Amino acid sequence: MSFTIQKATPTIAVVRVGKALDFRNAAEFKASCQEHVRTGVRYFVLDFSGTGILDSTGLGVIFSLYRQLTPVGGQVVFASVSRPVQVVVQLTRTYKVFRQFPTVEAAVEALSRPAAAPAASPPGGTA
Amino acid sequence: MPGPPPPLARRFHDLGTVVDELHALFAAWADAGTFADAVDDFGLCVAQLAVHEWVANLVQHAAFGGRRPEIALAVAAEADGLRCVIEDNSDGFDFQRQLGRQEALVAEPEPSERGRGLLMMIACTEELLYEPTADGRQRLAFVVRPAAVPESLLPLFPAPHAHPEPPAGPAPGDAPGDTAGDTAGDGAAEPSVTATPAR
Repeated sequence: MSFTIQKATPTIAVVRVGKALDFRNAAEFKASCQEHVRTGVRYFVLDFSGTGILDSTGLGVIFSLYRQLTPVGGQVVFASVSRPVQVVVQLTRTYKVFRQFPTVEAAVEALSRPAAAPAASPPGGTA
Repeated sequence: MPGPPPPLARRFHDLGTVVDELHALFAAWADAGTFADAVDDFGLCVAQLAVHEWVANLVQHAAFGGRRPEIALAVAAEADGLRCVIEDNSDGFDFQRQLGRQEALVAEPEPSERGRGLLMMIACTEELLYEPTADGRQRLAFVVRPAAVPESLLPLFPAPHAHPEPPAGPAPGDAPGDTAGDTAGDGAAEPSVTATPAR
């Protein structure tokens, strides 16, 4: 495990992903995030600074979290995206799904604004 | 005076450390600019991802029949890309069958979060060939040519929703009129895969 999770507010958690999110720690990552969802977290900021590995399994658990949160108005966003992670995001076009911010602070600030963080209703679905 | 260049080939035996060892090797190659004449940093990252996905598959699923595991990676620069060859001494597996399973998985309404490694790998590589060698090993070879890597892969992660505004960060390749939810599919190149059944 290389990640850590800290609450920035009662509903926003910052996940410092660390060196890797891949098949080796994906299950633990998912379980830890879900534990925070149970305590009321609805917004996850994934800090990818210094992350060298994001593989298909790691991205899969992020999508799993996204699917869990979107019906309740939650969000998963990316911050400080490293080059290897940016390559995966570009290849999979997941920048269409996960908003990206240059810093964790910018992400938390954006999610803290009521208009930017709808908490009750599911998004309209622009697909 | 600079030291000798990092090796272009390496053998691994410990399935518990091979992934970290691989990434350390790629990091050394990136720092040294070993393949800078063949690919940019994007291309090297793509090659690294493809190698990772295959080795992750070996670590999780390969049967070595009591033999000491051996995974050998060789990377060579070509005129317009990198050729990667990974040989191992596992029993091998039915590549096409596994690929079919993964393609079926991503089409499910509530797909599992696992089981996309082969799709990820073949979508960003060319000339992918999986076959047993004459001496009974398994050999995977592919080429990464960044200019040919599609902007979007197969629909690995169909998304029911999307963020309501453009991403704050860079979104290379995001063409006007694209809709959310199609995390891939449009414009993706048809991968070329050849697989010979393992023994």
